[in-house]
Amino acid sequence: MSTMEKFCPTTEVLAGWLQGSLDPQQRGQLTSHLAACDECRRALAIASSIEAPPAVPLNEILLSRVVAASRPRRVLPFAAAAAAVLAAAVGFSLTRHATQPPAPSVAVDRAPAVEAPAVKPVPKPEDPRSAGPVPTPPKPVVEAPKPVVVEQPKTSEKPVAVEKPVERPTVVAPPEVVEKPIVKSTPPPVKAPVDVLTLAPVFVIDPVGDLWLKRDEAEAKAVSLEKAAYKDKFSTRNGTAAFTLEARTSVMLEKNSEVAFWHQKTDDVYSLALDQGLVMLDTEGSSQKWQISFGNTKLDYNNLNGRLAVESRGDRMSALLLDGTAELKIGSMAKKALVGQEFVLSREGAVVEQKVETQKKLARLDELRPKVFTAFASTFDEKSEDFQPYPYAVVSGKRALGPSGFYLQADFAAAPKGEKSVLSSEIHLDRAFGVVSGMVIKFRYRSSLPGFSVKIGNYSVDFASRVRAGQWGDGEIPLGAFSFEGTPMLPTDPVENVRFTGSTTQKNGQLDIDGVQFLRRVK
Amino acid sequence: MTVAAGTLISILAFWASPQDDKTFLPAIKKFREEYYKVGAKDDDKIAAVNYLAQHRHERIVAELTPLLTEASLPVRMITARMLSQFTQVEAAPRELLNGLKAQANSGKKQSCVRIEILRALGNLRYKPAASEVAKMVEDREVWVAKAAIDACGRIRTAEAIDPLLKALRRIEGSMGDSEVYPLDEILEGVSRGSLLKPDPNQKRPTERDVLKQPILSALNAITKQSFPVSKDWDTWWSKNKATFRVAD
Repeated sequence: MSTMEKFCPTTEVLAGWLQGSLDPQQRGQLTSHLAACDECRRALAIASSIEAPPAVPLNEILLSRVVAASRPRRVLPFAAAAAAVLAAAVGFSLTRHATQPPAPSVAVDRAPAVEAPAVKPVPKPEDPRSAGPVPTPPKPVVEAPKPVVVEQPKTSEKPVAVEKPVERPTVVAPPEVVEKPIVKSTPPPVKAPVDVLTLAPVFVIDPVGDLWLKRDEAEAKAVSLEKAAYKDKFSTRNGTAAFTLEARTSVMLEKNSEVAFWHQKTDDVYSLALDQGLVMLDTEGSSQKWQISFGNTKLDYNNLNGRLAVESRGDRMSALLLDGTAELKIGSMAKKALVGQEFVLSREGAVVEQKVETQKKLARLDELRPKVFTAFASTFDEKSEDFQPYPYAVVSGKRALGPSGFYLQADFAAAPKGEKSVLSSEIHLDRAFGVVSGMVIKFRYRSSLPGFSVKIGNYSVDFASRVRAGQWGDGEIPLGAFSFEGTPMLPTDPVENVRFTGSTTQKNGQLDIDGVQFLRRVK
Repeated sequence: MTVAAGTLISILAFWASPQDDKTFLPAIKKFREEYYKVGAKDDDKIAAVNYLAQHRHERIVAELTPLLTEASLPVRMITARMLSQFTQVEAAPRELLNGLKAQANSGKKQSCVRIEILRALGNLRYKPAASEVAKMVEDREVWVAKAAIDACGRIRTAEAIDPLLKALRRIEGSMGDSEVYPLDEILEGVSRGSLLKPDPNQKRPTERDVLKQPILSALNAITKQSFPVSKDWDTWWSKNKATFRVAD
C-alpha cells in the first residue's frame, strides 16, 4: 500500500517547483516529500527533461499528463516511458514553435511585400531528437544578442540550419543535472535594412555549378531564372558555382560559401551579406554601387567597375579589388580602392590589416565565372504582372501565340502599288545597358523575306535569312557589325531598343521574332 | 644669367597658369592609371576616356589629343566623340582638326575616325575647319563624304557651297548610280561578305540615294535657298556668288 497518492503535491505545486516560484516553506515541504516519493521525483525529472518553451509558463496540462502517466507505473510499467517519449516529442515541437522568430518589427512585417515566392520545399530531414531516446534538456543560451544555430547531426546531404531569433526571451533555469547542448556560434543572420519596402528581389540568371537557394528552412538547387529576396541565402557545398545577377553582375562563389543579395531600388545599390566562404563579383564593364556586409562590418563600394573578391576568414573578412576601379568607404574613411590592395576587417568593422596582395587568386576565380553573360533576354512569354529580370515593352508589332508560346509578329504596313510594304517590330528595353566588346544579339526568326534589318538605336545591320519561308531559324550578329553611316557600334554605346524591319513588294509578308538575347561569351 | 631668366620665366608661367589645372590633376592621374595599366583592353581605355571627358578643360584636351592619332580605332573614335562635347573649350575643335589632317588618320581603315571627327567638328561649328571639311565632301568613301556634307551644313560657310554643288552635279550623273553598303568594308574584322551575305537580288541604295538629300539640306542650311536639282542651284549661285553672305 502506498500513501503517496494521498499526500502527493498537486501539479501546480510541482510546476511551481520547476519554475522556482514556491515560497521557502512550500519548497521545504516539497523537498521532504520528494526525498520519500519516487513517483514525484520521476515526474519532475521527466518534466524537467522536456525542453520547455522559454517564453511561456510551463504547460501544466502537459505536466499533469506526465505525472499521471508516471504514477500508475506499477500497473503499466511501460506506459510512463511511452508517455515520456510522447511528451518529449510534443515538448520539442512546442519548443520549436516558440523559438520561431518573434513578432518582427514593423519593417520586417512589411517584408512579404517584396518577398519572392517560395521555392519548392525540400523534405526536411527527420529530427533525430524526436525519434531517439529521451533527450537531455539543453541549457538555454543566454548570450542574448547573438543568434545561434543549433548544430544537428547530419542525417542527409541537406542539413537544415535552425535559425534562432535574435532576441531570446528569459527562460527558466532547469535543474542542474542537465547537460549543455552542443551549440555552434555562427555569423549573425542577414540583417534586413531598415525599410525593406525599398528592397527588390534580385534575379539570378543562368546559375552553373553547385548553387543552392535557402529560403526559410527549405533549400533547393537554383534553377535557370531564380528570384531571391533579401532573406534568402545562396550557398555552395562541395563545389563552386557562378551566376549572373540581374544581367548586370557576374557572381562567382567558392565551395562552402553562403551569401545573401538584395537590391535597394531607390539608390540602385546592391548589397552582399557574406556569411562564409569566398565570393567574387564582376560588374561586367558597368559602374555599380555595392554594399558588402559581414556581421557589423560594412564596406561601401561606389562606382565599382571591375572585379571584387570578398572572403570570410573566421571572424574576419577580406575585401580585395582584383581589377578595375572603385571608391571605397569603410565607416568614416573614404578612399579610392587600389587594385591588389586587400582590406581585412574584423566582424565589428575595424580595419585589422591592409596589404598589397599579389593577384594569385585571379586565375582560380576566373575559372568560376559564367561562360555566358546575358545582358538581355526575352521570350515574349513573360507575364506583365510578374517581376521581370529584363523588363521591356513592345513598341511595334504584336505578341502572337504559337504552338510553343508567344513570339513577336511584325506589323505589316501596306504600301501603294509600285512601292514596297514594310514589316516592322520593335521592343524597348526598360533598362538600357552599354555595349561590351564581344557582345552579340541572338534571336529566332521566321520570315518570308530574303533578308531584313536589325536596328539598335541609329546602328543597323542587314541580315540575310537562311531558312525557308515558314520555318524558324536562329540568328546571331555581333554588335560590332552594327554600323551607322560608316561608324561601328562601340563599347559603352547604349542599347535601348531593338527593331526588326523588312520590306516586300508582295501583298503580305511574314517577319516573326522570338527569343531575343544579348549575350557576351567569355573566352 | 640665362638660368636666372629661365627660372623667372618658369615662376611667372606657373603663376600665370590657370589654377584650374590643379583641380584636374587627380582625374588625370586616375585616367593615366586606368588607361596605361598593363593589360588594359579597349573597353577599359574607353571607360577611362569617358571618365576623363567629364571634365571639360584645355588641360583635359591636351591629355586626350594624343589618343586621336595613337590609340586603337575604337578609342580614337570615342575620343573624337567625347571632344565634340567640349563646346566652350577652344582647344578641342583645334585638336580635332589636327587629328583630321593627321597622316595617321588618312588611310581607308581610318575612315571611321575621320567620320567621327567630322561629326565632332560639325557639332562644335568650328569655322576654321570649313575648308578642310569642304575638301572631304568629294571623298572616295561615301560615308566620309556624307559626314563632311553634314558638317558643312552645320558649320555654314560660303566656301563649302562650291564643293557641295560639285558633288551634287556628280551624283546626279551616272557616277551616282554606284551602290553603297552600310559597312563598306571599313570595320576591322567584319566584312559584308563574311557576315551579312546580302541578297544578290536585293537592290542596294546608290550614292545618289545616300548623298543627294544631305547635300540639299546642307546647301539650304548655308544659303537659306531651296532648289531640287543642281541646274537650279547653279543658276542661283552664278547670280549671287559675288555678293553672298551667310546669314546669322
